[in-house]
Formats: sequence, structure tokens, C-alpha cells
Amino acid sequence: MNREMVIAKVREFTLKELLKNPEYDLKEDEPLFSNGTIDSFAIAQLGVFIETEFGLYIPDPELTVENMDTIGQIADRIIEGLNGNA
Amino acid sequence: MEIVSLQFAAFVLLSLLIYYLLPGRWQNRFLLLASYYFYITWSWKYALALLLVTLFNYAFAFLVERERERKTGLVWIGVALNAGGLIGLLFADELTQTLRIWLENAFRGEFELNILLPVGFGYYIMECISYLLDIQMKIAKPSRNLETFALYLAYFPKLISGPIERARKFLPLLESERILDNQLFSRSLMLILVGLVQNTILAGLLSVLVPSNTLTRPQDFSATDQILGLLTFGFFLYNQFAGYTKIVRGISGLFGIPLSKNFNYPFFSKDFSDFWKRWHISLSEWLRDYIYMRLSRAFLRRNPSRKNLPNLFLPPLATMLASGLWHGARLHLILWGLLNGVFIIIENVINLFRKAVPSARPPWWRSLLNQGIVITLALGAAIPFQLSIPQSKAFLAYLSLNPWELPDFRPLGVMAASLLLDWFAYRHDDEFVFLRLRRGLQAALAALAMLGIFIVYNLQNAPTTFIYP
Repeated sequence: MNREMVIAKVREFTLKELLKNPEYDLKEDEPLFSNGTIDSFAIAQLGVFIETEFGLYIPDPELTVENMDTIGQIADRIIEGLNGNA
Repeated sequence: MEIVSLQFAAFVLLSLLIYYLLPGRWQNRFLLLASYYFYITWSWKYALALLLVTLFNYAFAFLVERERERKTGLVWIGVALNAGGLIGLLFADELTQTLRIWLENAFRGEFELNILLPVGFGYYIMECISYLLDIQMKIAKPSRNLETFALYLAYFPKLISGPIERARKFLPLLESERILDNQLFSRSLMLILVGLVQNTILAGLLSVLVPSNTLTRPQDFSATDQILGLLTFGFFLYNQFAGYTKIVRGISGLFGIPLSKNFNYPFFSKDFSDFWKRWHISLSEWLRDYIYMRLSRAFLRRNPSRKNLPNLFLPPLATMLASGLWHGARLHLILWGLLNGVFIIIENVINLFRKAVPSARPPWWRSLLNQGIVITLALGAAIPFQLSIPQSKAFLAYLSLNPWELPDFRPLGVMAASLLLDWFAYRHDDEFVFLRLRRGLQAALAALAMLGIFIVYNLQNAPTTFIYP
């Protein structure tokens, strides 16, 4: 799975489930959690989405706002995990 | 040996001198010896307990690594033994205190009855639990070097009251070469100075200006004094603990080992969840990583909806109850934890119906209102944090009975100074903002701060004992 495909899936989930605003033009480097757009407790939802969609378990201490603040960061972490680097 | 004392300052200076005279490979060994010496000044029994915990976790980590693929759940035995030790000692300590008071009342005499609850035990046990769980999750490896692992737990700047450091980040720091450059040196000195201002001047003045029994004897005060007493307690606790953390971070920085930030201007929080990301950060993050997220993900796997009711209620309650219990095995602390859990649940429910507006900044009045609500809620919850349940009830009852009078405005001035100090760094989003000032101004402020510290430190009632668990 290439980066664009991962970003598309993460973007779709974020807009639909977290932002509840499917029409919004979400940029790849736009902060989601650190500026309070989405409350950080929703990061658990993101973790479960990554488990079910990509079959990848990201340990809780790594599922942080610093690591997963933009859809670009989230996609990079998923690709890193899928490639067996983490 | 108290942290804010001349004795400790002499110990740090002497340690720094020896540390930098030694070759690099001896520095960790020396820090370990210095840390154990520091702990023995509290009690040799504490040092013995720390040594036993160190040896157990050092060895157990290898078992966890070996067994993790077989999914035998062995890690939970290690977690249970660490947590059980902590909870057992907390309860035993509480029971012994109750028994002692009962005996003293019944026989009208003094009784020596103490259970060994080592100072700092709660902090290094949390470090051990996260170490074992991180190995189980394959995000950390067992330390092969007993000396380094022992130093990770015993390192004296963080031993008594944190910050709680994670092994996977802290062990590599201990294994790397120490570099104390000009930037780290000046930042460390600034942290020590600002920490002393908070811990000694601000917390010290508050303790001098407001009678310590305002909360415990509400019948002797006006309702305004009660509110002022509560506000004072909140600001005192914050300045004492945040100041303490800055001091130990600064000291550690002088050894070339940076420690985590533990406070991030909590009185400027935009909501209650935000408050817990800014107050005692290393504990909040620990609870989030090893309790909240684990529970929340388990509930969401069954039902990924945000409106999943068990997920809305149980993880915040369990996390904040654990926080209450960590602070002490007392009913009022459990009530404090429950209250905080309920505040977070209410916020989570409100957020369900709030439309997420990307990159939107609320107007200033809304931010100010939110900050006011957060401070009020946090201070409201602080009543059962500081007082027993009967005392809390009496405090609230007298609040409606006592007259409202004009308060003493001096403590409010100290609180305003505390907010101003934080606001300056918060506004610039830089905790080292004072280092951006002109050199002359920096020197003048530092001289003024040192004079203030000297004066307040010598006031009779200046706090010398750190009260946080």
C-alpha cells in the first residue's frame, strides 16, 4: 500500500468519524489534536481504526499527540509499522 | 536531606565538582553512589527497599522479554507485584496511622507505630511498571547494565518527587556522553532560579499571608476567607510543586541530563482535560498510556462508535480513581479522583455534540471564561484532596453560613504575580523566555530574585518541607 492510499483512508476516517465534516479540505500537515480541533481522547479511536483497517497495532505509549498530530504523521507511522520498522 | 536547603545545595555543588573531574566512564557510577547516599540521608531502610525493587525489576525484565512471544501473561505478575507493593504499603501506612490515633485516644499516651513507606516509592514503582509493560509491548529492551538501570531508578534529582521518567527514553540518556554546553548551562540556572522564586517566594509568601487552618477550621473565618484559603491552597500547591520540579530539572541539567517538563501553565488550560495535560504531566501521561488508553481501546474494539457508553464513562473514572489512590489510600482522595473523573466525562459528553471547527481560535473572552471554569472546578475538587470527608462537608456548610467580608488583598497580589510569571512564558510559548531579555535586565531580575529568596527563606514560616506525595 503506498502513502497516497494510506493518506486517503486516514483522511476519510478523520473527516467522517472525528471531524464529522466530510466536506472539509483537510491538509496533510494540518494539526488535529494539538490545536484542540479534536479532543485527544479520540486518539484511542484512531488506534482502533488503524488496527482494523491496516492490521497494525500501535502501542499506547506511542499513540500520542506528538506522534500522530497530522494525517501525514499518522500515514508515515502506519507505513513504518507495515514495513516492520516499528 | 530536603531539596530546598543549604545542605542539599552543598551536596549538589560537591557532586558536580567530583562528577566533572571524573572520566566519563566513572560518572554514572559516581551518580549512583551519590544518589544512594542522598537516599540514605532520608533512611537506610528506604535505600534498602529501592535496592530490592531495582534487583527484582532488573531480573524480571529478562523473563518478560523471554516469555512475551508465548503470551503467558508473565508481565502481569511483575506489574501486580510492583503495584501490590505500592498499594499494600499505602493501605498499611493508612491503617497504622488510624490505629496509632485510636491507641493514643484510648490510652492517653504516645505510641510509636510506623510502617515503612519510602519517600519517592510511588514514583519509582511507576517507572518499574512502565518499564516492564514497554518491554512486553516491544517498545523497550531490558537494560543489560545493572549499574545504569539502578541509576535510572535512583537518580537523586528525580527520586523524591519525580518527574516520572520512562526507561526507553531515560536509559539511552544515561548511556550517552554528557554534554553541558552554554545553552543547557544557562537554561539550567534559569530553571533553578525561577523554581526557587516559585517554591520559596511565591509559595512561601502564600503560606505566611494566609493562616494554615483556613480550610480545617472554617468556623473561625468569614466565607471570603474560606474562598481565599482555597485559592491560596491551589496556588501554593502549584508553586511549590512546579517550583520544586524546575529546581530538580535545573540541577539535573547541570549534570548534562535533561528531565521532563512536569507543568505547562495549568491555570491557562482551555478545558478540564487540557488541565490534566498540563498538571503533573509525567503522572498524567503515565496514567493515560497504561490505564486510560488500554481500557478505551478495549471498549472501542467491541464498538468503535464515539457514543459507546462504557468507553465514555469507565476509562476516565478508572484513570482518575487510580490517580486518587496513587496520592494516598484515603476515602477523600478516592472522592477527589471520582470528582475529576466525572468532570472529564461531562466534557467528553459535551464534545460529542460540539462541532469540530479546524484551526478555529475561540475569542479571548471565551478563553478567559474557560480558564475561570477550569480553575473553579479544579479548586472545588481540591477540597476533598486536602480535607477529609467530614472536614470537606464542614467547609462547604460553613461557606453558606459564614458572613462575607472584605478579604486581605495581599495573597491575591501574590497569586497575580504567579499568574504573571506564567503568562509571560505562556504568551511567548517559551519557558526560557527570560533568557531572551537583555543581559543587564536578566542580571537585575536575577539579583532581585535572589534577594527575595533570601528574605522569604529566612521568614519563620517559610516552607521547608515539600508536601506533595
